Amino acid sequence: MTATCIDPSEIREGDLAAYADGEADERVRRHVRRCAHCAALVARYAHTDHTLRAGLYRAACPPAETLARWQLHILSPEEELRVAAHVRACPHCQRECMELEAAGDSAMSLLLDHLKDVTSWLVASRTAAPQPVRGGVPPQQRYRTAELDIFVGTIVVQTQRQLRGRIRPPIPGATVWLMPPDAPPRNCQTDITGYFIFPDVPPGKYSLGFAWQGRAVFLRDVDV
Amino acid sequence: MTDATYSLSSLDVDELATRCREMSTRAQPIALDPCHELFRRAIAHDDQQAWAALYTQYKALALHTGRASHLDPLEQDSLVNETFARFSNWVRTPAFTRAFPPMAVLIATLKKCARSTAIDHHRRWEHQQRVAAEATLAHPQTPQSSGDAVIDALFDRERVAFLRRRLQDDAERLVFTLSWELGFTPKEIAARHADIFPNTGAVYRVKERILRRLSEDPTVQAWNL
Repeated sequence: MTATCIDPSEIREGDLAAYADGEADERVRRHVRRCAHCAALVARYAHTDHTLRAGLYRAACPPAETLARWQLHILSPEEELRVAAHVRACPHCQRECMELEAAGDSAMSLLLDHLKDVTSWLVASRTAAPQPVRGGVPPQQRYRTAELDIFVGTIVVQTQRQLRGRIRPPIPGATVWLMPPDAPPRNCQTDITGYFIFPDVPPGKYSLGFAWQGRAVFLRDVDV
Repeated sequence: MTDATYSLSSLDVDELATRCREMSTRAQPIALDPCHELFRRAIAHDDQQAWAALYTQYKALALHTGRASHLDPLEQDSLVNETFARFSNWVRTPAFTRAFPPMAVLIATLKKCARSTAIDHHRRWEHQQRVAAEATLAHPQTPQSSGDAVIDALFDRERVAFLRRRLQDDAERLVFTLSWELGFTPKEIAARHADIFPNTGAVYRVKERILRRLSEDPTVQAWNL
């Protein structure tokens, strides 16, 4: 490499890095063609740049396995914080988290999110016996667990379709999720009588999740 | 325990696997779930025969969720094996063992394992491609295999830490992370951090400072990049 640049006034700091990236303007290209010193620097920068790119790209990203465990809350608290901070800053990991979310079924992922608090899962089976939902409308669906009955029905108020239901015996303050297959979930809480309502629900097949005091139950294929 | 669950728990694994297979082909699932009982035997009792039955039953699900149909049989087996290894590892954590989860949670977890395995496989493949391409650019005169070796040797944990210590301020640390660890172009960096870099030229100034320092550093030079 020649000792000095032929005319330092022709280039500014950053120009040679831009040249190495193929982004320099004609002024810089003309200078590098004439200046052996700067041409040698460009070659050196490009070499270091390629080496860094090859060796460092996503080297700091946690494996997808760790991302999935993070979503399930089965990492240690320290690891959980570290992964959360990384995901906030990394669009690649954000994209992979969305993929993982979709693979695990977004509806289920919501309940999995509460897995760390759940100490008892209830198994619900669908039965056909009709029971009135509040408002005098017969329910379309009834689910039973060993200890609970869950009634779910649809009612049209003016032009708006509502999903109503109740838990018997009543569980006030239970969180209820309504999870459409291809839209963000919504949630509400049961009132003091175990009653819940979701206004403005388009027709379709939904999942419903309930969680209270470390217990959870999940209903699939609820027709609205 | 109800009579019904008692009768399931009294079946041997072969019978459970047969019923699970039959049940999976029905349009309407029956109330009692032999598949769930297979999971329970495998996880709660670490029954190897139950694990083998689950592997047979859910291999197709793992391949489908891992989008692995294009892989050759050997790679498919590797993906499914790794998926089940992860699943068996995850479901042994207290969150799962405290209360045995319902079928829907187990299946969702298995799918997450399969997808995460496929993503990690893809990352490894992408890394190999990138190393090969960049090594060719960084070492045009050397055979590709030795270029790979040079780059792989460079970026162990200690050397990455050394490179980071050569950075002098927050702007340099940001450009280092965004350029080389996350793969953003200077234009993208300027767009994302307009408060720090008013234009692309500002990013190139920082990038050039880093490149100059690292390429002149005697320790880095001694690594023979």
